[in-house]
Parts: sequence; structure tokens; C-alpha cells
Amino acid sequence: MFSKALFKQSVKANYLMWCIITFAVCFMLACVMLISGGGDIADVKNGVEDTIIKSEIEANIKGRAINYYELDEAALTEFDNYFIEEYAKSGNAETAYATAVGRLKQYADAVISGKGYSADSDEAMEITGLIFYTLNPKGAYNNFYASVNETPLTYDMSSVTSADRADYRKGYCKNASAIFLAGNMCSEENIDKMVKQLEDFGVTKDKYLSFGYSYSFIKHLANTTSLTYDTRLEYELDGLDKNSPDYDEKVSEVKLSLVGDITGGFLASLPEEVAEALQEVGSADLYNLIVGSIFYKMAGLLLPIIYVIMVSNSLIAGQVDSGSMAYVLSTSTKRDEVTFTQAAFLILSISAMMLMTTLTSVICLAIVSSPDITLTYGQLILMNLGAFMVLLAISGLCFMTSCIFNRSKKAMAIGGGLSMFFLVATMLGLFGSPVLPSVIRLSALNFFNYVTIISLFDTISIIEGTLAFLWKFAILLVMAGVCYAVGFVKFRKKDLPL
Amino acid sequence: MSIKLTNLTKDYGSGRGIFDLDLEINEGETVGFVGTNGSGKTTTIRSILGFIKPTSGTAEVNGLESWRHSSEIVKNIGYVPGEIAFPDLSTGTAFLKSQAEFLSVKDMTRCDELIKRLQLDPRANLKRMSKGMKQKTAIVAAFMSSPDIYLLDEPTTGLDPLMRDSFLDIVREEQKKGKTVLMSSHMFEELEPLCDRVALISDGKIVDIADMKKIRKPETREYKIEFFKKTEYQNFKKEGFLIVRDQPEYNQLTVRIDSKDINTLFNKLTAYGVRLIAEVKYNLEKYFKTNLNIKGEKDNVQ
Repeated sequence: MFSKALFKQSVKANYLMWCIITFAVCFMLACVMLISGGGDIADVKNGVEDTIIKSEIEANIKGRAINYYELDEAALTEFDNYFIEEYAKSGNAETAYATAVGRLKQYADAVISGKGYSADSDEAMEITGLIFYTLNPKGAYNNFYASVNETPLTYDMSSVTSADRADYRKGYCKNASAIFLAGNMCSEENIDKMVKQLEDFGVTKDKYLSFGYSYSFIKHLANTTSLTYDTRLEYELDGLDKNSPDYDEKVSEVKLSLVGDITGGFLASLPEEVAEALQEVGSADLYNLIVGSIFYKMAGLLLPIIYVIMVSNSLIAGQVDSGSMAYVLSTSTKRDEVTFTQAAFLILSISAMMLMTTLTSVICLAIVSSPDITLTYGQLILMNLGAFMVLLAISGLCFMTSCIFNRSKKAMAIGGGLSMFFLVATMLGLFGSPVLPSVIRLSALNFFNYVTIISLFDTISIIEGTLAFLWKFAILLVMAGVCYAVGFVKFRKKDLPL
Repeated sequence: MSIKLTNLTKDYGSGRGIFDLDLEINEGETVGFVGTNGSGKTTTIRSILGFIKPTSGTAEVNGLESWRHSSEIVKNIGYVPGEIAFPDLSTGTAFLKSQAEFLSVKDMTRCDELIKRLQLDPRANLKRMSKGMKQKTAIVAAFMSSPDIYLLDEPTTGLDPLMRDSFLDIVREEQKKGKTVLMSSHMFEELEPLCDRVALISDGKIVDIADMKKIRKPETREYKIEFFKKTEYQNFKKEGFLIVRDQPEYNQLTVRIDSKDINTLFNKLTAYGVRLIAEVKYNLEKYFKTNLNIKGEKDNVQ
């Protein structure tokens, strides 16, 4: 069944092209893997990701700033009222202050239980801390201010009855709540907590620190936020009718929308589709996309397909067309022997080629092992196997036409034409395929994915670790088998113009 | 080793192909195959090799049906294709080596001998070889395994006259070894000295088969005689020889006589003043011309 002489002849006739194409493919592969793995892609992706994460963190800070400010403002307003009440009772400022502090403690507890937190929870500590650090009764918490390099604040009670007391209180609260927030968020303990929450988005502590949320930044941000909030709230409330029965309801409505407005994260402030797309980009593995869907499924297939078209043609149809097959067939080499040997050569040469790309890709992956790359060696080898399966099916197709037609032109036009069509359809289909983020996806082009056999090389399934790619491989394998078998039978039966 | 064609038909449609060929080539016989381009010579040879499947009828080599037993019968056949195209190999040497491997020929002395006799330089690049060199390489490839049957499809095209003679010598040696040869050509003169029989094929049909023995030793001979004087010319006309051509303006006569009566003619001629006497050679071309003319006339009459 196997003619050694013919095999040798085929090797001699085609090794040069094999070497050139294999080298070119491996070179391209190495370039793609090393360059795109070298950081550029990670930078693009991280850039998008960071923008999203940062804006989310900032939204969080703003939300807290408003929250703290409101709590503070409400608490100190109460405190002022307590003080005035107590002072009216006792006439002694000292006693009144002390009693008012006590009542404030009760108020704080009421707030905490009103919000549904237990007395010893982190949130309770936070609220109590916020209120009392702000009030800083008799400089009791001076060490806190010292720890964040701030001059300790003193809540001035001398102007408690003056007309612009409210303005003073607001300004004081803004400053105090900003200091408290900044100090709180810059404590090691809280940073660790934040990082832990952000872990899911791939944020490490180093990365978090690189975002630059310093004490002064947060303080400034909190200050401006509460200022914005306050001014806008005032403006909005001016427009409301104080005498209407649902005034309170409307106030809380306004507040809610204001908070949403100011604290809205980056994603929340974008149209939904864009927000989704950006999230996709953030979560998409661009390296897998480039290596899998772009290289192994397209760019990397181009040269091997050209090799398959040319070689499968020259192995049978070319030799029949030129007449040189006469020298093979007039030497008692059976036709089956010819087809079998040539098919074996074709398949072996493709296998060898894909073996070289496998080696190259594994070496490249070892070189670029960056933490941003999630591609595993197993997935990489499956990619190579997938490309091999596609080439096997295409080689079957080209070999079949090569066996059927006596003219190279026809064999090339039909086998080669179809193969190139498959490749071009894959290229067009990529722009409509779900591996691309939806912003740049042209879903109309997805149609092309249904007309090319290269779609049976399911890179998504390989990356996601599902087993769908296996039965698709099986289809490719069956196609190759059928094509080769048809080629064998046709060549056995046809007239040869030799 | 014999070849037998029985009602061999390969119809390519619109009148092309070969139709109802009957031909038997016995072991040790050399048969020539003449015909114009496109008359079906190559199709017949391809059928004998089993490269094409006959529409009907059979080609047999040594009792084996060609189409089904192609790979077995070609073992004994040396084939020089009409259109020479070599595999994609670098040099003639590489090709001959590869061919030797296919044929399981280990001993290359025969090959070297053929190369020397045909003055071939096989180191030349296969692609850059001239027509003649390619032809020589193909001949060496076909002859080096010393097969029992040779199918030579216009083997002398592109060869210079000297090389053609060397080639014909080689074929003659093979004939002496008892090999069977089927050689196609459109040149009568190279088949004449070589063949036992020559088949003329036209439009896919064997029109006539000439037996070369009869042509080489014809029963009648023709002589062209020119006389000095008009009177002698006129006198000779009355001698009673069969005159096939009369050219009074040159005083020339062409007479046909039985081969055994030659002496009578020469004895008679001693009495005449003869300026020129020449035998008009009877050859294949003449044979086919006369035969086909007669046949053609018959056909016309019918």
C-alpha cells in the first residue's frame, strides 16, 4: 500500500516549500505571541479596566462623603439643640455641654439601631466614631487628628445661637467628615478591606496603591463632593413648596436623586450598551482572542492552507496534468498505492508543520509568562490541534479535487477556491462573532460563521474549558476521512491521460 | 509476451477516440503504428497500459486484461510517453535514480551504458533540458529495467539524426533478445527498417496493416529507364513490358516486372542506348498510398 520511492520523490519535490512555509508560520506565531504578550495588550486592557475600577471607587468615596456629611450635619444640629435646651435648663455651659454630649451618644445609638446595625458592629463604631471625632469634645480625640497630621478641630459653642450658626455648622461638618473619611480610608485595615472587595476585578494591593488614593486626595474629593451636594440640595429645595403636604417626601426624593447624580460611577453614567461593552473589554482575555481566534483560526492558517492547496495539487492532479505520473504508474505502482502514499505524505507534512508551531507556541508562552495571560499550555496545545484538524479537513478537500480532476487548473480552482473561501469567510465572520466586544462587532457578518468549516474549530469552547470543541473536531475528522476516501475511489476508477 | 486488442473502443465523443481496434502483437514481434496527429495512437497505447478504461472491447497483455491488471502488466512494459514531463526532481540523475528505485533496479550498469550510447548528460537540470535531452532521459528510464515489452510513443521526436540511429540500434538489439515492441511514429522511414508489421491508424480505426517482409522483398519491381534516342524509346515500348509511367518528353519509361524476370529486362536492354536506369524503391509510403488509393476507389465506387 505504501510506495517508499514515491514518498521520497514527494519529499524531494516539496520539502523546500514545507520549510519556507513552516518557518514563516512559526515566525509569525512567535511575533504574535511575544509582541502581544509583551505588555501592549495588557496595557490596553488594564487601562480600560482601571478606568472602570477607579471610577467605581471614586463613586464609592463620594457616596460615603455625602453620607458622612449628612450624618454629621444632622448629629451636630441635634447637638446644638440639646445644648441650647440644656443651657436653658441649667444656665451652666459646662454642664449643658456635658449633658448634651451624653444625649448625643443616645442619639447616635438611636441612629445606629434605626439603621439596623447592632451596637458592636463595624458600622456602629464607624457612625459613633464619625460623630464624636467630629465633635471632638474637650479635645478628647486630638490624637486622631494628630495621627492624620491635622490640627485638632474644636466645635465652637459660643456662636450657638447666632443667625449664621447653620452655615458655620455645615462648613465645620464638611471639613470634619472629609478628614474622618480620608483618615478612615487611608488606614491599613480599611485599605485591606477595600482590596479584598476588589479582588474579583483583579485588583491587587499594589495596584490599588498605584491608583493614588492618598489622604489629601480623598479629603479634597470628599470636601468638594459634600460642597456640591450641599449647594445643589439648597438650590433644589428652594424650588419646592414648603407648605405642600408631601414636602418631606419630595425632599428625600431630591436627596436620593442628587446622591445618585453625584456619586454615579463611570459605568452608571454611560449608556447601558457602552457600559456593557466596556465591562466586556475589561473581562475579555485579549491575549486568548489574539492567539486563538485571530492567529490559529485565521492569520496562522493562511500560509498552511496555501501549502495544502499547492502540495495536494502537485501530488496528484499536477502530475497527471503534466504527464509525469506515467513514470510512477508504469512501474507497477498501483493507483491505490499512489493515492495512499501521497495522502500519507500530505497528512504527515501537515502534522510536522503543526508540531513545529506547537513547539514554537509552547516556547513563546513560556517566555511571555505574564500574570495577565490566562492561556494555559493545555489550551495552547488544543489550539494547535484545532488548527491541525482544520488543515486536515481542507487537505482532504484539496486532495479529493486533485484526485477527481485531470487538470491542475480545475483542481486548484475548486479545491483551492473553496479553501480560500472558508478562510475569507472566517475573517469576515470574526467581525460578527461573539469573541469580539460588542462595540466593534458587526453582527450581520456573523452569517459568514455558518458557511465556513473553520467555524468547527471552536476556540471559545477551548478557552472556556467546555467540551463542545470535541464533537466539532469529530466532524472535521469525518469530513477529512470522507474526502480522502472519495479521492481514493475516484482516482482508482478514472481515465488517466498519461 | 504478447499484446492483444479485441474490439478496443474508447469513445471520447464527437468522433474522437479509437473504434473497434483489433490487433495482435506476438511475442518477439515489432509493430509500428503510424497515423496522423490525433488519429488515436496515444489512446491505444494508454489503453494497453491500462491508464484508461475502454468503452468496450479489451486490451490484453500476456493474457491479462489491461484495465484491471494495470499494475501487474506494467511491470513488464517499458514506456516512453509521447509527451515527456518529469516529476518535480532536480536533475536527470536524480530522476533516473528515483526511477530505478520504483523499478527495483539495483544494478545501474545498463542505465550507464544507455546514457553513454545516447550521449546523455544526466547531470543537467530536468527543467532546463532541451526536448532531445528529455527524450533521451525518457528512453533511458524506459529501457534500463530491460522489460519484455516496449511501448514507444513517438520515441524519436527531438532526437538528432545521429542519436536517432543510436536509438534504433538499441531497439534492434532488444528485438534480437526477443522483446516485443510497439512503436508509434508519423515517419514511415524510421519504422520501415525496424518493424515486422506496420499498422496504419486513421480517425481511430486501423485502416491497414502492412507486412514489412513483403515490402522489403516485393514481388514486382519498377525501373525508370531513359533512352538516348527517341527511336530506341519507341522500339522499347514494343518489347511487351508492363509500362506504368510514360514520359515521352524525356524519353523515359517506368516498367514493372516480376522480381524473377529482372535478367530478361537487362538482357533486352543491352541492345539499347540507355542514358539512365534507376529502380523506383517500393516502400511503406508507396505501399500505403497505392493500397489506400485502391481502397478509396473501391469505397467511392460503392
